[in-house]
Amino acid sequence: MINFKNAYETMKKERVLSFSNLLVMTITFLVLGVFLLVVFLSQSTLAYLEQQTQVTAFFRDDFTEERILQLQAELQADERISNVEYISKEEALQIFTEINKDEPLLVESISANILPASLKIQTRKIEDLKIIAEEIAPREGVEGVKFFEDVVSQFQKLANVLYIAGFILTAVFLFISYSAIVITLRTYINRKGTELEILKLVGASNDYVQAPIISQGLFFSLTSSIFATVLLLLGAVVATLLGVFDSGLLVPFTTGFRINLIALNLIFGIILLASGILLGYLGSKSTVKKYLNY
Amino acid sequence: MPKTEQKTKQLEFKNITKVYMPEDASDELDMAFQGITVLDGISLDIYQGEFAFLVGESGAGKSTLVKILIREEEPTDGEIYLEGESVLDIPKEMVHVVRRKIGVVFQDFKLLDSRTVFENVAIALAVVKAPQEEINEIVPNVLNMVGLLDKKDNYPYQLSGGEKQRVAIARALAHEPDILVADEPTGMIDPKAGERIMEILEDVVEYGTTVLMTTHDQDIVNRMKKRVIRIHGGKIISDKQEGGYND
Repeated sequence: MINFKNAYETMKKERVLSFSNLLVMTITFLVLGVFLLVVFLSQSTLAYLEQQTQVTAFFRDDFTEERILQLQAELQADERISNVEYISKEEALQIFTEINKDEPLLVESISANILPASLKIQTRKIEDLKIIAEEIAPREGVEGVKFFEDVVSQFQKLANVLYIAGFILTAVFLFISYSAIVITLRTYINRKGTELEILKLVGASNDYVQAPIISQGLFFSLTSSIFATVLLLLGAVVATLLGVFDSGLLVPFTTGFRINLIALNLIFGIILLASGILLGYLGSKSTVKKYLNY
Repeated sequence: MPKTEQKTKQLEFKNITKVYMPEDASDELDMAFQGITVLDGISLDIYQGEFAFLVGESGAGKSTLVKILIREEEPTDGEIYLEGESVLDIPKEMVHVVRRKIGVVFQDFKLLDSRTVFENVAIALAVVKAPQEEINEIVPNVLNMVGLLDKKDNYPYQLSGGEKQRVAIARALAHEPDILVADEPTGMIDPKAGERIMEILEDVVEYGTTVLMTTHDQDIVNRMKKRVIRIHGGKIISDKQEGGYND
C-alpha cells in the first residue's frame, strides 16, 4: 500500500540525500515544463504567422463591387480557404491613411480612385497559398495577385523542423526525468539493500517489500513535479502582471482559439504531475524488481 | 534410521540434489564451485518436536540445504515437504508463505541496524500485518524468553554477539513457526554466549517447536546428546539419536 507518510519520514532521516535528489528531479521537471512552454510558444507563433500570410487579389477599376462579392462568395465556399475579406477602394484608402499617418503630404496626394479594391484570401494550409494564387490570377477582373512566396516556404520549413524537434526533445527530457528517478531510487535501494533482503528472509511478501520503495519513488517524483508546477505558475503570474501575452496565446491547429498564459501553464502543470506519477511508479517498479528475484 | 513411529513427520527432504553450474554462480565463491555437486540425493525426515543437529565439515552442504529449504536457492532435483505440503511447488512470488512457517536464525544474525531490539523482533509480525496490540503483547514475551527484555530499546550496535543472536532467535520465534532452523547460530559468538544460545534452543523445543541446527561445533553436539545427522561429500553418512559429532 502506498504510504507517503513513511516516505516523508524516511526522507527526513536522510535529509542531504533527499534534498539533492529532490533538487535534481525538480530541475528536470521544471526544464521539461519550460521546454513544453517553448514548444507551444513557437507553434503558437507559427500559427499566428500562418494566419497573417495571405493571397491578395487586386481588381481592375471596371470590375464592379457586385462581381467582386460574387467571387468572394465563390472563394469562401472553397474548402481550402478559411477566410475571404473584401477591401473596398474606400477601405483601402482608410488603411493607407492609417499606415502613412506620419506622411500627410503623401496621404493628401492619394484618393480612393487610385487604390484598387481587393480580396484578402487566407487558406487553411500554408501550402495552398501558391496554388490559390495561381488559380485566381487568370480570373476575369483580376489585375494582379500578391503573396510572399519566400516567407511562406520558410515558415513551412521552420514549422516542420519545430514539430519534429519538439517531439524528439520532449521525449529526451521525459527519458532524462525517468533516469533521474531510477538513479535516485537505486541510490536509496542500494543503501537499503541489506534491510530489504532481511525483510524477505523473515517472510515479507513482495508487496510489503515493494510498497515503501514505490512510495518513495512516487513521493519524490510527485513532490518535485509539484514544485516545478508551482514555479511554472509563478512565472506565468509574473509574466501576466507584466503584460506579456495579455491577449492570450493562439492555440495551434485550432481556428483562432486563444488561451491565457496562466491557464496554459496550469495545463502543463497537470501534464507534469501526471508525468511525475507515471515516471515515479514505472521507475520505482523497475528498480525494485531486481530485489524480488530470488 | 531412528525409530520415531510415535512422532509426526514434519519436514521431509526427498532426494535433494544441488549441482552448482556456471549459470547458478552468483558471486566469486560460487564460481569456484562450477559444476560441483554440493548435495547428492539428500533424503531426510525431521519429526515434530525434535531437536536435530546437521553436522559436517565446512562445505559439506549444510547451509545449502537450509537455503534450499527457505527457497533462497533452488535445488537441481528433489522435493521438500513441510507438514505434507510441497515447499518447492510454491510459486516464487508466494515464497514468503513458506518463510513465515519456518523461523530461521543465521550465523551473521541479520538484524536491522537502524531499528531497536523491539523493532527487530516486531518486524516478523509487521510483515504479516499483525495489529500493533498483538505486537506489543508478543514481542515482550519472546524477548523475555531470550532474556533481553531489559534491552528492548537498544540498537544492535549496542549488543554483544551473543545478545544479537538471542534477538535473532526471538525474531524467529515471534510468529510461532512450525520449525526453527538455526544455521550455525554459534559460529560468530564466544563459547559462553554459545552455551546460552543452546539453552534457549532447548527451551524452544520444550515449548513444542522443532529445531534443526547446522553446526560444525563438536563440543556443542557432543554435550547435547541429540539426534545427529552427518553430511559428507553431499551425502548423509550417518543419522543417530543421541549421537556424537564423530559417530
